Amino acid sequence: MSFFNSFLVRFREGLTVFVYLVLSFLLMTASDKAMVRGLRHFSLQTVGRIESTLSVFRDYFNLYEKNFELRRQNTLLSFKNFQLQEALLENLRLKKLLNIRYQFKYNLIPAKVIGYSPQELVTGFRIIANDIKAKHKGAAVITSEGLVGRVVEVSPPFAICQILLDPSARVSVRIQRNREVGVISWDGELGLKLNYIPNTIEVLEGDILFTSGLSQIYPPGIKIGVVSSIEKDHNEMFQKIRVQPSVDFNALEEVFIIEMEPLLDETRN
Amino acid sequence: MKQETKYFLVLLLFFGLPAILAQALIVPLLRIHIWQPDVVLCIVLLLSKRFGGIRGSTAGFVLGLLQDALTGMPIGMSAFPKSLVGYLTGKFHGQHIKGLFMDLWFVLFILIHGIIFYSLLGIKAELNLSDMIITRALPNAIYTMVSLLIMNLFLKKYLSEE
Repeated sequence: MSFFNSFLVRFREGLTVFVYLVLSFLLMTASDKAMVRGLRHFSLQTVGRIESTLSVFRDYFNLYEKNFELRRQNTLLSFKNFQLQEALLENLRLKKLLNIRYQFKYNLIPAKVIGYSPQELVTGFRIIANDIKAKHKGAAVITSEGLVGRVVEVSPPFAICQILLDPSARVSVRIQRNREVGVISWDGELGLKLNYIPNTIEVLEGDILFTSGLSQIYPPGIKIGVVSSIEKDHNEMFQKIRVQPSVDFNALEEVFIIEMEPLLDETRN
Repeated sequence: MKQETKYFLVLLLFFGLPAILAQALIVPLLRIHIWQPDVVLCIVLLLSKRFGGIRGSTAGFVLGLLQDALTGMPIGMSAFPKSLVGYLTGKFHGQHIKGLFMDLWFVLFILIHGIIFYSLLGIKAELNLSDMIITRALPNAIYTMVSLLIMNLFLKKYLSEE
């Protein structure tokens, strides 16, 4: 016993750090265990409440500018709405002709950004939404400009949203002009890159990218960004395509979480 | 509980939690191109320097866990390098290395933290480690070191050993 005690005393520092390192490693491999979920829940609730309180003050000083900007957007959207009504009628007629059976109905849940990631490189932010539930984990997050990312953790009313600039984020996209499919990921700096587009495919600067709808997470037709540069190396199979995201991730205040429900096409009925 | 431990816990609470909030709210405003300092790591290093290896690694572990829990990545990815670096700083400071030499050790520890963190992240997100070290870890280490020196000026009176 005395040997054990003297061993503990002698190597106390080393043993402490060893325990912490082993614990960290075990926690890394057990991301879905109840203890890890509990820790996330506790941290998110604690920091989320502090941040939501702080954001009240931040919002108060921005109210006038925000109101002005919303009025401007409202006018612009009303104008766009007239044009879209025409397109909608045409779309309905074409769908009828093609006899498309299903469409998706999207329910948008409004959420407010209350805090950003405390970790350099791992990007994302914390949001608060009154209607958010555990089932929304994995749901896509958008703004009027385009796709922001997806919900990765939920602890109602708070959630963590992983944005497209996160190193582990991947989204299947389609080029609007030629309908080619690729995968979007972070480019290592402040933008995105489009992967797996062969050298033989023509891609132009200014091409617009939309979600392809091939994944279960992101519904089709959400704008992602615009092709900003293309590099072709004949020794490589794929092109190096850089994409400018359509969303300004540094200026996000309100976002929407997409809740998807499949339903019968009204046009068919 | 020892007076020293109580003081450590108070400092951990009053400097650690604000550091995490500052990392999320203020540090992005200080970003130069893609580089930004890690103020949570600065607090861990300063606490380790003041309280030694055991408390330093504890500070690194706790703050790292909290930092991980607020992002979508696996919990432990920041806690792992921060515990190790907290321990190393405390250990080296205990060897009575002071002044400029200690500052140089700090740069090395910050770099070790960056290399371990990017290695773990690289496994998860399929990143090129050498690219990450050159473009991220090295410039961030310098930026974090500068922030550490500035923070040390303001927090010196709370973290002095006398």
